[in-house]
Formats: sequence, structure tokens, C-alpha cells
Amino acid sequence: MSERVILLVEDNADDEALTMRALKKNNITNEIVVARDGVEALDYLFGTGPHAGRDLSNQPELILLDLKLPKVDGFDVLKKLRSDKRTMLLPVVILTSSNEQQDIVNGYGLGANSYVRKPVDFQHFLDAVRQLGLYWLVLNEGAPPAPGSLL
Amino acid sequence: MKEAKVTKSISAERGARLVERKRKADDKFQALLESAPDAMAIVDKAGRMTMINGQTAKLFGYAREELLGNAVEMLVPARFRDKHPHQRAQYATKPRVRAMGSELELYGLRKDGTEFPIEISLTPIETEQGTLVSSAIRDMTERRKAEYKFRALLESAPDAMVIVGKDGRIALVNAQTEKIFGYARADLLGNGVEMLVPARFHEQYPAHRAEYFADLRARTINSGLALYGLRKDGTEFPIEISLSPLETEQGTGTLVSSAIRDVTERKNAEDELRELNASRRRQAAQLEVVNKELEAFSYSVSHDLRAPLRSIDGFSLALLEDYADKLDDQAQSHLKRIRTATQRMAQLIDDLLKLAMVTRSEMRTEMVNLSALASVILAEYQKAEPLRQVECVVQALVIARGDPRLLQLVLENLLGNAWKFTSKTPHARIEFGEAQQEGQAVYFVRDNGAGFDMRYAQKLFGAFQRLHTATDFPGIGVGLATVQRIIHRHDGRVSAEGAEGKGATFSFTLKINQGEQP
Repeated sequence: MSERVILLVEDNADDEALTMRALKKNNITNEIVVARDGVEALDYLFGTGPHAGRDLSNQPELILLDLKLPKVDGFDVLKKLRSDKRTMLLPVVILTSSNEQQDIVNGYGLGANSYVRKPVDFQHFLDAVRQLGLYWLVLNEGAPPAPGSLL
Repeated sequence: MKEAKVTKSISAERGARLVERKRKADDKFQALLESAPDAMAIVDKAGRMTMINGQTAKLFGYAREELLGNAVEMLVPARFRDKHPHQRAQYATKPRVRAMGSELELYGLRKDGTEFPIEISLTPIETEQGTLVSSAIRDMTERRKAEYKFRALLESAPDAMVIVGKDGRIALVNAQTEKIFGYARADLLGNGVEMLVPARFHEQYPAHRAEYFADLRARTINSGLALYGLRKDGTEFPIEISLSPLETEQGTGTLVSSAIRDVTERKNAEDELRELNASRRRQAAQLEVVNKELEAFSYSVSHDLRAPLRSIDGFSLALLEDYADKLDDQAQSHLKRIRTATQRMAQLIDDLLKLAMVTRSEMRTEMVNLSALASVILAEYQKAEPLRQVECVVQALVIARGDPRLLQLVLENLLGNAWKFTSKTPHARIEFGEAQQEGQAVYFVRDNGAGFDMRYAQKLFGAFQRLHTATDFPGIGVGLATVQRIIHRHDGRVSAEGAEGKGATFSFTLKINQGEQP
């Protein structure tokens, strides 16, 4: 079975490297596609811009979404992909520094599946990524690809 | 003889007729006198009363016969009596009609010796007995009383009262007018009322007055119009005027009374209030901006300040893991210190955010079961450190009114401290409960841990103040500052008692509790 990609939406290069490291350390071998701002993420998901012509039947198995992003922020990305048939059922885990009540409430309100605050202690982060991978990539049964994405 | 007899009889007859005619004329005249509304007395040159009417007798309390033929001076009070014949003689040299209402204050003397104010009008009557004087005497008692009342009323008015004639001349003022405008009464009476109005209004003033006299009714002139009075010293002050027409014996609309109020203080107060409101609005706007900034700041701290910490920690660990063989013990120890410092910084940020949250979050008061909260918190600490043996005593059903989230934070901090500072104590004991002090509920967290020196008690509640090194007991010194802020937001007090090595007791009250109990 060809593993589907994980879309990591992250503007901070350090965080990107550390997340990659954490995924690798936890033996998560899925291909990681990195979008460095909201626009890139939406381009990838909808096959526009630099991703024009991408096979949209191959949507990510999991989206790890940072909130504070240049151009289009994480909430707007979430809003857009939840309101489109092709992406509305994709699992989205908000992975962010903030634990502001407001952000958590907004995140769930817009249809996030999980909200995880990035711990400062990398050991804890490793553990969080391990659990995320175990849950979303192994335990969780994702929805079948949306019919619209076959077009 | 016969003729003489006839003549005599004719003349006798004529005489009788003449007497009869005169009697009839006298009767007519008497009837006329009786019909007059005033007391009437006809006085001859010698000052004797030759005719009076019933009103005269009644007014002065005499029988008619007691007066007729007697000198009119008997009706004049003794103090004026000496001069009276002279005054009468003077009148006789230039007799003319003198109407009532002259400025002279005249008094009559009754038979019983009492005096009363009168007004007299005099009219000369030419008769065959010479010039007689007819005096009409009016009792002014009631009128004077009314006048006194009016004047007393005028004087007691809190406002300056200025009574002005149609010609704009001041007819009457009260003491308040003298006080407010700084003039003596004599300076005002008879002068144009413009003297009380600043020069720049003089032009339109007569027109205003004419307008008012044309449409007489009581009215207040204040709103919108900026009215000013002019003091004798040339200074101006804001006034409020209400006008009303006065009824006088000359009819309505010959006099207008103005009540003038100095509204300087009210104007000042209004100005002050306006300024105060404006500045309050400005402050509120500023406060909102500051709050927004604080929120943005907190958000930024929460989000952005942590990101570099993650990098420092993550890459330090990466070094330790990936290059362990190339790093000697010293280098590895340095990296570990870096990681420890990073954790501490992260904790600091979180605690600061909590402290900020305590200040800006909205209060929501309800009944909170502090006992239940305390039990849960202690159970969590026990779970985190299962090997520690701590005797936890939580008094059941301690219930208080307050914000549940904030009170949870208070207990987390106080019980957390107790848990932390008993970590080196054998037979550690932590107690939570309620006591009564001066009729008020006092909640306390007591431990038998490290305690503190009472000399430094006041330092405990300041942010970043610590009485122990982080090596002895970890912490950054924000917890008690947070507790104090929360308790203050509940209008309560928080205090600490302790001794080094003998444990500590933290007590707090919640004012919100008082009087709000259902």
C-alpha cells in the first residue's frame, strides 16, 4: 500500500526541521510535503499555482497545521479546506505554540480534529508526535477519498 | 304795620324755607359723605371737624358726637400733633387737590390710643363760611402688611430680584441684588437696568425689553443663550433670568420682576463635569487600546517567544543524541544546562501569561466547592509523584463564592507550594480548611515544610520574589503574585505566616462572600 503524504504547514524552518526529526525518530515514513505559508498549503490541496496539475486523488493522510502563518493564516486555511468537498474530510491537527483559549475554541469551531500545543521540551514533542502518528496514521480510519477529487 | 308784619312773616317764612333748604342741602351732602368708601372729614379753618361720615367715627373708634366740632388734631398721634396746625395753615395758604399715595408716611390715632397707617387726600371746598377742607382718610394697615410681606418675600428670595418699569428703570431691588452685583441699593434705584448688563448686549437689550412688555408672561431665559451680568467692578458672570409681570395698582405690565441667578458655580461644575467626562472617555479609549495591546502582546509572547526556545532545546538534544561520541562530559553538561534553562524560560513565560490572564479575564462569580477542588489538585500531585508520602487533610464542604477558574488557580498555587516545600520534610502534612475570624470566613493552606523567615513575609507576594533558590526548590516566583492578584480581585486579603523549617500557613478571605449569600 502506497502511503499517503503528510502535509506539514509550518513557516518556521527550525520547527520544520525539528518536526521532521521527530517524525523520523518515530519511524513515520510517509512522504512529508511542507507548505511554508497558507497560500502554499491551499495551492497544494487544490492543485493550483506551483501545484497545478497535481493528482488530487492523492490527498494528505494528515495535515499538521500551524496557526501563525504569513499571508493566509492557519484559521483561513482550515476554513477554506473545510468548505470544499474535496478536502472537507481530511484530518487536520493544529500544531502550534499558542494555548490561548481563543485559538483553541476557534480551531475546533472551524473543524480541526485535534489541537496540540508544541511543547518546548523536545523530548515531550517527540512523545506528542509519536502519539499523533500512532493515532492518525495507524489507529484512525480516515474517510475514503472524496468523490469530487476523482474529477 | 301790616306790611311789616307781612314782610316779617314773609321773611320768617323765607328764613324758615332757607333753613329748610340748607338742612336739605346738608342732608344731601351728609348722604354723599356717607356714600364715600373712605373716612371723610370736613375741617374748617380753625381745624374743627364740621362734618364727618360714619366711616370716620368707625375708623377712629369714636362716636360721631365725640368728633364733631373738635379739632382734627385729636386724630393725629401726639408726636405729629404739634406740627399739624402749622401744616394745616400752610395748606390753607395754597389750597389744592392733593391725591393719596404721596410718599409721606402718615398715621392716624384711634380713641384707644393705637396708631395705624393712613393715606389722606385733601380737597378745598369753597363755602359761604370760607374755605373748608375735605379730607378723605384711608386705612392702609392691610396694604402696608401686604407691602411688608412683599418686601420680606423679595428679600428672602435666593435670587437677585430686580423690578423694572416699562422705561427700563430699576424700581426695586433686594439685598441679594446688592450682593451679586456689588452695588448699593441707592446706586441702582431709578437707574437704567442696562447698568447690570455687559456693554456688548446694550444694543439689543431695549428691543428685548420692548418685546417682553408686548407679550407679558412668566418665562425663563437661560437655555442656549449665554446670559451675563455685569458687576460694579466691571467683571462679568453667567446668569440665568426668569421674568414675570407684576400686577400693580397701575395695572398689569407696568412692572416686570426679574429673578437673576448667578450660575457661575453651576457653569463651572458643568464645565468640570464635561471635562471630566471627556477625559474619562479618553481614558476608557486609552485603556481599551492598552488592553488590546496587552492582549496582542500576550499572544505574541505565548506564540513567538516559545518558538526559539523549542529550537534551542530541540537542537541541543539533537547534538546530544547525534554527536554524543564527539562531545566530552563537559560539553554534554553544558548542553544539559542549556536545556534546563530553556525549560525554565518556558515555565516563566507560561506563568507570566497566567498572571496576565488573571488581571484581564472577566470575573464570573458562583458558589465554588473549594474542598473538592483541593482534593482533586492534591490527588494530581500525588499521581505525578507517586513515591512521595504526604498526609493530605482537606476539610469537607468548604464552599465559597468566587470565580471558579481563578479560585482553582489560587488553590493550585498554594497547594503546589505546600507540595513543593514539603518535598524534603519527613512526615509531610498538607492541610486545607476554613476558620472564622471576626465573623468572616478565612480559608487556609497549611504545611509543615521548609517555611520561611517572617522578616521576608512581605516579599512573598511580589512577582519574581523568591525566598529559596531554584536549586533548593524549583520555581520562578510568580505563583504567590498570581494568588494575591486573584484574591484582590475578589476584594479579599491574603496573608502568610511561617517560620523557617516549621512550615507555612497561607490564609485568604473572599469579600465577595459577604452579604451575597442566598
